[in-house]
Amino acid sequence: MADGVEFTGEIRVASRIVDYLSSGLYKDPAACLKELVNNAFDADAARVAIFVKPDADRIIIEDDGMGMTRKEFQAHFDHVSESRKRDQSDLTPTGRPKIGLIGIGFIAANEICDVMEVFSTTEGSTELLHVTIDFAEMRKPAGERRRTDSEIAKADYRGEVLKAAKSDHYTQLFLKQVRGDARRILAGAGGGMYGDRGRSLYGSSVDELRSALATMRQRKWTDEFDDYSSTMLQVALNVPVAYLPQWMPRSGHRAVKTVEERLSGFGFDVSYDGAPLRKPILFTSDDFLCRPLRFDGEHVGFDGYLYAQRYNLKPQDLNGVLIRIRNSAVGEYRPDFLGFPSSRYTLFQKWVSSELYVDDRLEAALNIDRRTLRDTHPAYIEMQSAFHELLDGFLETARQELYDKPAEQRRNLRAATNVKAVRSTIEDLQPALSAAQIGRIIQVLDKRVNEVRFRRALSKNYSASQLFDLAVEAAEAVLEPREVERFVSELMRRLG
Amino acid sequence: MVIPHRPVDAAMDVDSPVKARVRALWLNKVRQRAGSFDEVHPLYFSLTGAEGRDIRELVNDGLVRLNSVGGIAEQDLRKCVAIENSPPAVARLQERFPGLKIVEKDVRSLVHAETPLAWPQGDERLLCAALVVNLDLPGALLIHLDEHLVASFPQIGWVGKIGQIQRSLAAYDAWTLCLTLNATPAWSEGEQQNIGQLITSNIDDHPPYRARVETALRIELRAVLGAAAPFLAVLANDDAQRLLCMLVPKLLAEALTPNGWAMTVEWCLFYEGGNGAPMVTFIVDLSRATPGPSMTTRLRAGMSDFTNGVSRIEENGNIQTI
Repeated sequence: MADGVEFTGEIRVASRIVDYLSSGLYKDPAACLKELVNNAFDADAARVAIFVKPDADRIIIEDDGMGMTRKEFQAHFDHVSESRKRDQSDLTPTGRPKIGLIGIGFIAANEICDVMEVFSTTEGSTELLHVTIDFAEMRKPAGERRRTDSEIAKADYRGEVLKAAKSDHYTQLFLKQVRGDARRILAGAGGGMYGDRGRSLYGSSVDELRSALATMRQRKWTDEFDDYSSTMLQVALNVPVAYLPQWMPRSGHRAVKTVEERLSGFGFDVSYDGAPLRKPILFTSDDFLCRPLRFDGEHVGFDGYLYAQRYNLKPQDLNGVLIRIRNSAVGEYRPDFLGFPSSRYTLFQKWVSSELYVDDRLEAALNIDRRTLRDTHPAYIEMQSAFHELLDGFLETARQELYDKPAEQRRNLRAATNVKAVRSTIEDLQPALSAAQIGRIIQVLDKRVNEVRFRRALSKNYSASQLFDLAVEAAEAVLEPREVERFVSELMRRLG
Repeated sequence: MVIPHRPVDAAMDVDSPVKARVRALWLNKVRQRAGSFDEVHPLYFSLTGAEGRDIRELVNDGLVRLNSVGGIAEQDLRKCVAIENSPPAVARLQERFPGLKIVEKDVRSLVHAETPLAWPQGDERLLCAALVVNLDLPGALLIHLDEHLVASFPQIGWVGKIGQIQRSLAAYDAWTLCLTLNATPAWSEGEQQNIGQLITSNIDDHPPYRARVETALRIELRAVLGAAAPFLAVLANDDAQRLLCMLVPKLLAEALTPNGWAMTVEWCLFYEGGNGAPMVTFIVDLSRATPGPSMTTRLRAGMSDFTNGVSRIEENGNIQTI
């Protein structure tokens, strides 16, 4: 392989960006992998394969996207700054909205590995780009790495141009010398409750993944699954892969059809050690509400959904609102719902999950880490306000439909059960009382039951002694005192 | 994603009765050894090539299980290790077998062949101690002559290092080596002379060995090896393969016996590989030697056994014992 044209260089990054890269944002392997997968999406890849097992000493990410030439590589990486990625167009050739603004993903990899090797070729070219990037430069003091007032060297690279078939187009990334913590997390040594080894999703088919999520016992992914699997879920949550089959109960499906079809329309498949990635969002409750969302404002627009189920969401990871811009998640679910007052519908906030697919205008509010938004930006403010209004109405509906009504239904059911129990007890008093006497007592009882006040009391009173009081009250209205005495003694005997 | 095939990948993936026979023989060894797998040190160590044909054979045989998405099953992740030093081939192999342990090195680097006192570290060391080590090496037997014209055989040295690692880890009491080489050596005149002397000196010392060699080679060996002209030019047809069948097991014994391994040769096979290339394959069992006779004694005692199983694999896959 050594007979290609060779070249070397330095990757230089605008100072403004380097702070974010060095701040530990990408120390989380999931964050780094997400960036690399999003790069593949922007390269119009139909298929991305990530290989981590068995022990994450090397991570491979390969895609069948457009690839890049040496010229493109050097043009981009010799001076990494903002706004370069969408210089040509906002959309990929197949019409996907590009996610990345700059090629930060590649460089983000330095947080989890010391060396990255790249093989890439583009269709129509016979050149195969092979570059080895040495992130050891990163470890040097900042002063030694500064090249100009505004640029800092991030890595050395050496490359060669080899031969490829003209029809080929792909990129293969090899993350080598994976660093301690990242390797431990990716290999899945830890995780699960109390640091014990959790369940593993390695090698799970889509059905097996769905089943694992549906049968979770713990409240959070990190408590249920090992680190390997938690990482896999975090990546899947973030990148533009499809949802699970029947992730929303059937009757709620119409509300989420738009977002679902948008994603499956991209034809973007990502596998993780062979396991197909799907968004790990699964709602299985029979008692739920789901409402589509749509807003088009002066500064921003979004669509999405609000979902609520009776009782707290499990896993808790899904509680809150998840913002997506260009189909890629901005951070994680916000359980505070973008600052919605915690005092409003406090109980029911824990029942709610939401996704907002926000349009490009919010991108101006996006911090460079792509995980947080500037909450003073007009687009953010408008989005927040609109969402809070929608959420407020939804929570009220959730309270009525999922709490008040069922509570009323339960009370009525309890009352009916109690009445039935009392009636049955009285009927059992034959032959101590005559059928006629029993019939008259029950008539009184039935009449009383239709009185709201009595019925309300009945719905609350369900102890044996309280049933006794109701029966006696009905008997007193019908029987002579001596008969009441006999009634009571017989009742006491029956009730034990 | 299409990765250009290297010639070696194509050769390893060939389907022919001959290759099928060779595969069946080493597969049988893996079956025999499978019960001893300790879940730490591999069952199978191999230069698989990008297509991982031999891994596929293990899967088809049920020795390695797959999960529901076609990756190596969690409980079998430790069973196999593939040695492959080309990143694109690594990617292709990983794509075929998610979860497969692949060491991105060549054997020489892995075992630190150049430095006698250097060893693989950590997990790589453990991975060298497999129950079946299948070295399908590209190229012919190499020889290196130092300034004193003392010969060493690099590939045999790698095997010797593996033997030392196996011994030091004390993981398994027995293991199997499958070694395949191309049988068109490109030895210089000086190298041929050296090999000739090596063989003839052994013939003189060990009559049973001599008889086996001459039977196998069907020639008056001394006349060929002792001649002034380089013998490779004289040997015809499959003689070079037969010669290697005589030579290589002895070299293996010399490399492995000092490390406490008693060697039993099961097969010395010669055949035509892909594109008609002459090939040789050795299947050798090693077991921890009991204390007793010295190394030299063991070597001498084993001389006549080192040429066990010399056989040709015919085009139809049948084995013809020589």
